[in-house]
Amino acid sequence: MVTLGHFLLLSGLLMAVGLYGVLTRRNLIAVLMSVEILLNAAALAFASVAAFRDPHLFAGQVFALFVIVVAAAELSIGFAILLNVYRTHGAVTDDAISEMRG
Amino acid sequence: MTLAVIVLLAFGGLVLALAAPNFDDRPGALGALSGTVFGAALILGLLAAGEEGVLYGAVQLGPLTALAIVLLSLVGLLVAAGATIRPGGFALGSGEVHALVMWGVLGGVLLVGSAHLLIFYLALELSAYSTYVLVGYDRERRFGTEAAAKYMMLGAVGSALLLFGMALVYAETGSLGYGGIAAGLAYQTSALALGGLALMLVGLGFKLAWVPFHAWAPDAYQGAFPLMAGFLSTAPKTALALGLAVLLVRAFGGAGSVVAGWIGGLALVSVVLGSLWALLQTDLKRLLAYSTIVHMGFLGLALSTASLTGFTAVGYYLVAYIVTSLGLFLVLEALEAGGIASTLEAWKGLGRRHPLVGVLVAVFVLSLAGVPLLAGFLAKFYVFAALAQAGAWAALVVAVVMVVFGYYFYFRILAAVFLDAPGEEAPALDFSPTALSLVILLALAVVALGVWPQPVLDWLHVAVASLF
Repeated sequence: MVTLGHFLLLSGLLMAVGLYGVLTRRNLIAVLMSVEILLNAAALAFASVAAFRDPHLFAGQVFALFVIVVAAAELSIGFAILLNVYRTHGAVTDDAISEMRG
Repeated sequence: MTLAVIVLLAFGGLVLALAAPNFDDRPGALGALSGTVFGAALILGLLAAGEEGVLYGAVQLGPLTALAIVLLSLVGLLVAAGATIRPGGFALGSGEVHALVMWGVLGGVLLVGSAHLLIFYLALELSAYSTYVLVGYDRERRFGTEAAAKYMMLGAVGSALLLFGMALVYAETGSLGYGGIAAGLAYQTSALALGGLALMLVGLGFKLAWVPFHAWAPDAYQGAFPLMAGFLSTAPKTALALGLAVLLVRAFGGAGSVVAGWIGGLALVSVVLGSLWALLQTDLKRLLAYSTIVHMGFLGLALSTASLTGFTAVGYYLVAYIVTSLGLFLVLEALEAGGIASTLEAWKGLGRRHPLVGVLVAVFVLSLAGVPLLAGFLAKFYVFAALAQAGAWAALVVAVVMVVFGYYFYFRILAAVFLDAPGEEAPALDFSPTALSLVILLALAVVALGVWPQPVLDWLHVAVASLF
């Protein structure tokens, strides 16, 4: 029997994978991909909670849809910023963007 | 009125963004338009205080939302005026700047007014995305793009953690509206709910730059235009502090006191470590970033009392912080526009070469440090009073010690400005008259708030009392 706990565990694992990616990837585009995994983990959690716990189903599912839309907006801003980083620094790795210190 | 403000800010930003390309040679016209919209929002906010009820189950009407509208519109108004300081406006078009500031303010208003976690999330992201773009606005500046990239990555991680926390709270309570969550958490809190609340707090900690989630802040401030750093240090923080107060009282129910305890811990760490790191800085914007972290710590201490006195102290702290911090960042903006970099080195002898600017800097810096007769002193005093009332003696002692410690790193700025001799080939000081009048107004406000706080306090008290 698959329960809500299984789904939350899965999204928790996805969360861990995403965090691992954010912390270890050197390429900023790979970091953005990891962020996308994080957001999808949260969206999965919302959708599954809605299916198991919410009798009306709407709130969580709508939230998951909103997360997907907002993630798209986030990525478009992210890639615009990375494009600028590439123009000014010539690379999109985290070594390239560690000039400011202190 | 609240609805009118939301519509006004949303469409105002849209009009500014769409009209922007036609006004590239007349940035002043867009600044005037933006200022008018913020002025109208401010007046509507003052009128909105008497409203009651909930809009579409999503936005709470009332004195606190009105308070947020007034404070954030004030920030917007000052930033709109400040954006005209740079000769010729911003290099890549100034209309979009005004539009993004307006949407940032709109996000902040909705954040405080939200009565549903979905609105809270969307408002948070609206205000965050605006600031990501504003930090990296000049795409030719190496530090600007670098800062925006770091800020955006960490901000995105923060919002993902916040979202996952919300999902866990939703799993526990089966509701996303504040009322339903409070009902679900009223009697007992499971480990699931506590984990969710902790993750939500971590996510919000990233946005408020509490230690240890502050790593982006110094870079973002250093890379941004000073004006945008000023916006970043006031508008989102104001919205988040008030929004967190609303969450604590209206949504977290029985778990509110637990979360308040966590906030107190994070805040105390921020006050202590932020002050220590601030000592090491030579770049003024980085120094002010750590100063912001310390101030967010004091705010967090007031929030953690979760009492009427504490939240009134939060309100006063925010008012004092807005006029002080924006004032100082406007000085930085005017000086950078005139070719004087924001470093302690470049500021040497500033007070000797231009005594008026020196005195204005002194007013703001002393207010940030918390010297009597200025707004910053009373702000900290009310925080301490709230802590004493709550019986948090350990936190109170540490906070008082750190205020005294803070005098030291603020004094370094004043020492550079007044005591050091100017460098050999210091450029002539060209301080824009717009900036000078704005900054003088803000300095007067700092003094006025410091010696005659009662009207503002009464107004804040009424707004905050509506929470309980």
